[in-house]
Amino acid sequence: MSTASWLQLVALVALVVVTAPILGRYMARVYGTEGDDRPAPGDRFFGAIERPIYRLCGIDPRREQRWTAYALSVVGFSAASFALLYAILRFQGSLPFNPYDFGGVDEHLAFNTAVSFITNTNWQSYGGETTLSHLSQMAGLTVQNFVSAAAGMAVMAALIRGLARRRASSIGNFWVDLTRTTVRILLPLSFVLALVLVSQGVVQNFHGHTEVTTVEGATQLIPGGPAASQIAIKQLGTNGGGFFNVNSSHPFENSTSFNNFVENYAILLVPFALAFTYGHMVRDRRQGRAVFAIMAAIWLVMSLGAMGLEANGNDRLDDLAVDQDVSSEQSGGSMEGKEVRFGPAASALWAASTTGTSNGSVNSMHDSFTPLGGGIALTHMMLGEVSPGGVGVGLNGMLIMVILSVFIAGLMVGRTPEYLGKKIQAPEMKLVVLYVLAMPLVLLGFAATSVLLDSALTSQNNPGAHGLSEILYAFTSASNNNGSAFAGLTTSTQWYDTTMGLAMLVGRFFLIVPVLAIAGSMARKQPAPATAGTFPTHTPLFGGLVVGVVAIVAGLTFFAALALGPIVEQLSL
Amino acid sequence: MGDVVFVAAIVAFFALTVTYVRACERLVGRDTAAEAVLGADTDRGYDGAGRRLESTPTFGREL
Repeated sequence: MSTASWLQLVALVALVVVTAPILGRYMARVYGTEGDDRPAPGDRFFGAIERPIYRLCGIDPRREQRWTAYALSVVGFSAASFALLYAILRFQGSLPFNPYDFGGVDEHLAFNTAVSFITNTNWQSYGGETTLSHLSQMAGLTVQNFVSAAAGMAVMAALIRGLARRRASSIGNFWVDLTRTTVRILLPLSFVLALVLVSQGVVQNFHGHTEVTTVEGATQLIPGGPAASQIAIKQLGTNGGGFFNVNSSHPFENSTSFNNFVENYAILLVPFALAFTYGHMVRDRRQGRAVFAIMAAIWLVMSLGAMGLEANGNDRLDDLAVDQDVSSEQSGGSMEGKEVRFGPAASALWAASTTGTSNGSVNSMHDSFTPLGGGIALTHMMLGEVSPGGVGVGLNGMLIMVILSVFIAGLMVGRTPEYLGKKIQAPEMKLVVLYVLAMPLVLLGFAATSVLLDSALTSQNNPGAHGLSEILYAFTSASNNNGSAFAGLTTSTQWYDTTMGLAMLVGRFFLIVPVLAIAGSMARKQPAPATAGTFPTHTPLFGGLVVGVVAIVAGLTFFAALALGPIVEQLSL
Repeated sequence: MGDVVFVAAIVAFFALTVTYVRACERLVGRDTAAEAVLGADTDRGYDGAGRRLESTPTFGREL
């Protein structure tokens, strides 16, 4: 890799390491810590915004919910969000802010898009600038970018309270958590980031197409729209759905190399910061640092792997005497499907970040990566989006893996497993198993069916191992609520729109429900003080165990599929 | 017609999710009740009545 590539990686890591703990501490104050009654920073300002919302919606912010009520609130809110977004998409032709005069979106595409955005997947079966009105983008997609991210973070706050509280029957109030997350965390961060993006040339206007004459005399239509405001929350909320069809490859979404760096940082900031939030909320910052270290270790390995593979270039091109070396005139490496202003390293670093966070935005085409480079993006999602994962849901997944690791460690030595002083017993382990099985079930089930159906295979643009990787990637992305596309597979068909929509729903709600059930179950327990026999869960030894468990669970589930896809393709080069 | 199918699908899914919540509720409730009956904490060196047991295994030292 070039020196510039190393510098970029080091700068990104340093920035995250410095700022994530600060944001993490602030978010812990927003969600509240047991035994700490101090008001959160900015309480007077944000409280003035929140109180009318509570009054309007009939919410009593002091009233807490049991886990079942919390879960039903999440489900009810998501169902209402679906109805609103589906209606906007279907009727956009009759609604204002439609400078291109687009008609209503097709039923199956509206279903897929609405599901995609309420589940924080943000898969794009649509082309933003060729399908959606400004109203659909702003009132439909951007609103869901905020609230679906906030819903995931709310569930995380509930899980942490469940772990931190003792002999409690409630885990917080979903409506309060949703409101506070949106008003106090996501909106301020997005406002600042949108200004930075605009300063770098990301567009923010209400124009339709601007017709220009090129230097060759041809006519070109340049699209406009309120992109910067959507891109800001798209990255901070790990949403990923782009304003334009090619997502963050588009110069109006991701204009410069510096802009690319800022957006990559924005993708990672909140998920990593939430690890520190966790440490503060359970009043044991070592636990937060341990979770952060585990997440960061996996992300770093994946980033280095992808960057190294793409910087090395494609062996087949070497055979054709293509110059892939770094020089003063080119960044070298495998440049197929990548933007010249970013180069292979920044593209691969983004790929590792976007697939590790369930963000799903792309600044290059993963389909054009080297087989193993694309395989890393695929594998990163298959780990369950825990490194560091999407906002909120990533930490949920990591804590599930921590509980599973504690259980396995307990089995090894014949002791009842416990975490944070609370015993992990049969009901929690059954819920962990439900959590772990849901995603692979829909992923492998739908992918296998797609390989068998002739009608689904017609969507493939590539045969053989690469074609299998494309199908695997699509369902991996959907069932992990990632939303990034490998490209090369036409998914705007009834089969893929519908099945991927179902995969997104299962990947979201059939994971959230067990998480909240675990929160409710753990909240009722009385923690016992640590003894000499307590297995410490903040040490490098435990961190290594968790990394091993994450890798083994994914390996046992997906290795066969990976072997037939990217691994065979690499070997056949 | 397409709208009816997709709206019905989403209604069916969320109804299934509510059923899933109830199933998990029964799972948590039933096992927690079983735990209350058992009561003992032999790992920490206490029997069901809160009496100290003779020896307590030490996980950390064994490592």
